[in-house]
Amino acid sequence: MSGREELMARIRRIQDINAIRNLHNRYLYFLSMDSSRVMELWATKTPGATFEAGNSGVYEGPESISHFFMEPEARRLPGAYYEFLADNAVIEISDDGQVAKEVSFSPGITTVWPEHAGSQNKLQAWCSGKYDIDYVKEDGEWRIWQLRWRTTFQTPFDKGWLHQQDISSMRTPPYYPSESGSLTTCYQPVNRWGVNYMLPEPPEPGSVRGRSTP
Amino acid sequence: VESEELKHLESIVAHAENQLAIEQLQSRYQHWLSLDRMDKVRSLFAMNAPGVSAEEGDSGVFVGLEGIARLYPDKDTPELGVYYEQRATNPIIEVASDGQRARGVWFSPGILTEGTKDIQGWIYGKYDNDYIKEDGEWRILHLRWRETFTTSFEKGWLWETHIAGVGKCRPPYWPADEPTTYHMPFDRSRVNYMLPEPPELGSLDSSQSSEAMLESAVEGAPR
Repeated sequence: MSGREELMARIRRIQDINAIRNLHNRYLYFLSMDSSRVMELWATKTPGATFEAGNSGVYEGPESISHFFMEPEARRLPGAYYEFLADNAVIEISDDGQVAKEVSFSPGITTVWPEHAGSQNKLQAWCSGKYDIDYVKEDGEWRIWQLRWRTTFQTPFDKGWLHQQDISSMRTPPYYPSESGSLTTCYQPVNRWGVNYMLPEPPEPGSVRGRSTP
Repeated sequence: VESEELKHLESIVAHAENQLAIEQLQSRYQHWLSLDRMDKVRSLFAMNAPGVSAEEGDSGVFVGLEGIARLYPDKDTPELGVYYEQRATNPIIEVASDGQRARGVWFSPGILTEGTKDIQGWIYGKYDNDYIKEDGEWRILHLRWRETFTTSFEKGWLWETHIAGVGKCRPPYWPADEPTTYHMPFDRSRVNYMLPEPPELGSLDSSQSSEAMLESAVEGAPR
């Protein structure tokens, strides 16, 4: 590789990391404002796209994933508000610049108010979790391929995670069951009596280097 | 002419890479810390700088790899009911123009859980860290976590600035190699100017700070 080619490869890696950060942040803004738009960010040409949040089970394929994000009309009712953030992203990219993995922390808030079907009324909650995301590049654009939100806790504002680890199950209509889905892969909120090894681990440097488009 | 231009471009690219690498390094620290993987945490510190150090709130300063190992010890058995999550956000990172040293200041919100002691709480502070490049890899040279508050979920920082018994100013960590350098948590009865300030642009290139940093790295070893 010539000096110029090598430099271009390094520049592309910087661009890739910045693009992935923006992509994830855009997802978070859409999620908080109009969740139906997150499908603009998902991989549509790469087989194996999935979505999973807490104990939701795995939504497989764009159609199934969009079902999850389009369904909850409750999100647009007066008084509803969700905000999930992501920070301390550790991002690893493959050598060919086509595949990437990210692990980040995700604090947030949830507000359900007042008469939402299937949920507790008048609920304000602190949320905390971790994102475990795989990305692919399609036609030169980074896309979310497999996204998992692992619950640390979702606890009522005045209770705290010591006393209540989750506000409700995602395995209830309208979210569950997803027709094409499979079972939850990991759901282990913080436990005041147990060992808390909150997966995922951050990807090791170079651990995604050899991967290529699925 | 082309090689001159390439050299210039390379330095710009290297600067951007350094910023990203330091952000990733610090983020790895937060993740491994929350997983209580102290072997991984220790591996992020400088290996060849005798003055490598870490300080958390009023823990005192732990110096050298031996000191780092006392602040971040392996545990024989995992602690039940414990979960800490200390994050680092809004970094201001200044890299010296030689690309070998850097300083980063971060806000640091987090949560703490000690289930068997009936403790859940909020833990807020700021990082004031120095970094050094060793064999082409960025490492933590000095880690300082300045406490804003460590308060229980039920009380809040107006009423409780520091939960008794939480922190590392006690056995088995204590005693540290050197006294705490600065510890001034939030206080409802005073003006709260929560240091550190963010590093100024180009501040690592003033000869004084560069030298001071290297000096402390070399001479800061326990005597």
